[in-house]
Amino acid sequence: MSNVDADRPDLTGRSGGDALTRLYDAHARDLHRYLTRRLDPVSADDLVAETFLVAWERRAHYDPTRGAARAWLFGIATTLLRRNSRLEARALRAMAEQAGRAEVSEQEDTASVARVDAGRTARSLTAGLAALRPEERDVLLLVAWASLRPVEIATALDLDVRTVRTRLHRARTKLRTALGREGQP
Amino acid sequence: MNDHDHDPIDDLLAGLREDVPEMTERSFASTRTHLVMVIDPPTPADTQDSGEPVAPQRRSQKWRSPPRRLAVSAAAVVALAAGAVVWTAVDGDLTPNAAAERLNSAADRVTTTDAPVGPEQYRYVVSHYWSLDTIVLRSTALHRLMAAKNEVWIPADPSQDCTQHSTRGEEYQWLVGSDEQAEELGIDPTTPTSDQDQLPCGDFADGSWQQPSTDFLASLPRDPQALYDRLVTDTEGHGSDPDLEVLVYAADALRTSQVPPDLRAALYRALALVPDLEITEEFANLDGHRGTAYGITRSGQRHDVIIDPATGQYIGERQVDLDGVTGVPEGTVISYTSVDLPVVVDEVGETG
Repeated sequence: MSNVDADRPDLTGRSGGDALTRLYDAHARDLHRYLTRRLDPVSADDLVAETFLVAWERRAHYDPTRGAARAWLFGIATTLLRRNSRLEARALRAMAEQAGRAEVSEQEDTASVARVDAGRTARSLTAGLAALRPEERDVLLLVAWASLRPVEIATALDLDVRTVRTRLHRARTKLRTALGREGQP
Repeated sequence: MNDHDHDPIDDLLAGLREDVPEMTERSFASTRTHLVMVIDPPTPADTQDSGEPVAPQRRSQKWRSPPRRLAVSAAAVVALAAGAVVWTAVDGDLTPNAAAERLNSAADRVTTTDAPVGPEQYRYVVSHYWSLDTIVLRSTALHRLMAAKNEVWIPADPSQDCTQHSTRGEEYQWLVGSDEQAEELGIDPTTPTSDQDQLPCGDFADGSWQQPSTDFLASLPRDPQALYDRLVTDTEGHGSDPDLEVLVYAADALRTSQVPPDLRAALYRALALVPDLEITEEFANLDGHRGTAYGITRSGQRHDVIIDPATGQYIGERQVDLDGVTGVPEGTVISYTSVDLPVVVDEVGETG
């Protein structure tokens, strides 16, 4: 049971501050990595700090029965990140373009087909991610990059699990379409 | 787990942007130091008072406290907002026994049947959920109650699709702060989202108190003591307080409007057995629906369920921050859910 308690600490009691500091030690790097993948390291620094300040502010809202604290923290981070969704889409588009250029130069260098394919996939995925609605991108990347389950995302983002699954389904379909288009010879 | 949970796309995504730089040790350490200072700021009281430790949330009050003027204006805004309950007093005259008596009487008045849904008809259930949304930037904390609405159309035939429409952020009420202040911080305060889903009704009911399936509800005992015992068993090890958790689980199920009348009555009688449950307000008003509030207070927060004493209808629930631990003025309602009386409609999209 001690694992369960560490994953789902009571943040409201007298030792709530210590519990939150332990959560920071356990999850700050993981959150930072997720936020860096979605934005950049500098924004991630700010957002990690803000996530834990909000977590402290809202500790009374964390209900250990509803899910692990890790999912709750990713939910806060994702909500904060939403303010930067336009920035994220712009950065993703830029990356997709960059990947496209790299692919062209690799082809000229007669690089292996596998590498070209990987580059193409990355470009299509990145372009596909940029074109998603922010709420679709949120659930998809919480699954793919934060390893959260739909039910955990539902709790973390205060959504119905059906909404999460619908968004996930739509996001994957759109990405599949984006990949299919690129895959055509 | 089911097929929704994993997809080959996820594997492709897992390889994308994998080579990002890790958090630097410097960033990790400085953020941690800042966090610790916010949680537990050094104050003169620390050096003077070597006896009883002061609760951390009290000590961080300085960081979180809005200017007095703001707190007052926020209070005024919320008090004026139609239908919102804000300041509620704990009625000291009413004993827990009174709560039990009243709950049993509400159970007696639960109508024996819900309105029948015809073959081509739908039961329309709508709940309104207001929750605390906190924006923290540097040393400023703004708090507001944010609205979400969840509408579900449940067909008579459970094998057909249920339709759900949810909206969030269309309305909000500032508790501490204003649109202008949010904009000054570079935040757009209005970001409403909405979603409509149509999926088989049975798909996501997992047979828990939180997502009850028809079978789960049918399997629960109707004897109040047995039902209370079941709640105690199912909540064991969950939550911060056993009594509170029983109330929370019962509310989870009641909120879905799927609980049949006989079970609803039994749940009220079971709640009458919860120690420390008190009548916390005689005429609580939740979005214009009035009922008796029954609550439990733990760690400076009170959780209420609100039941119409005349019809036994479940009206909703709310959470009151009695001590202002979340940074809002003391006694502020920090979340509430109101459930409208379900109605029978002829088609999806109709709201009765």
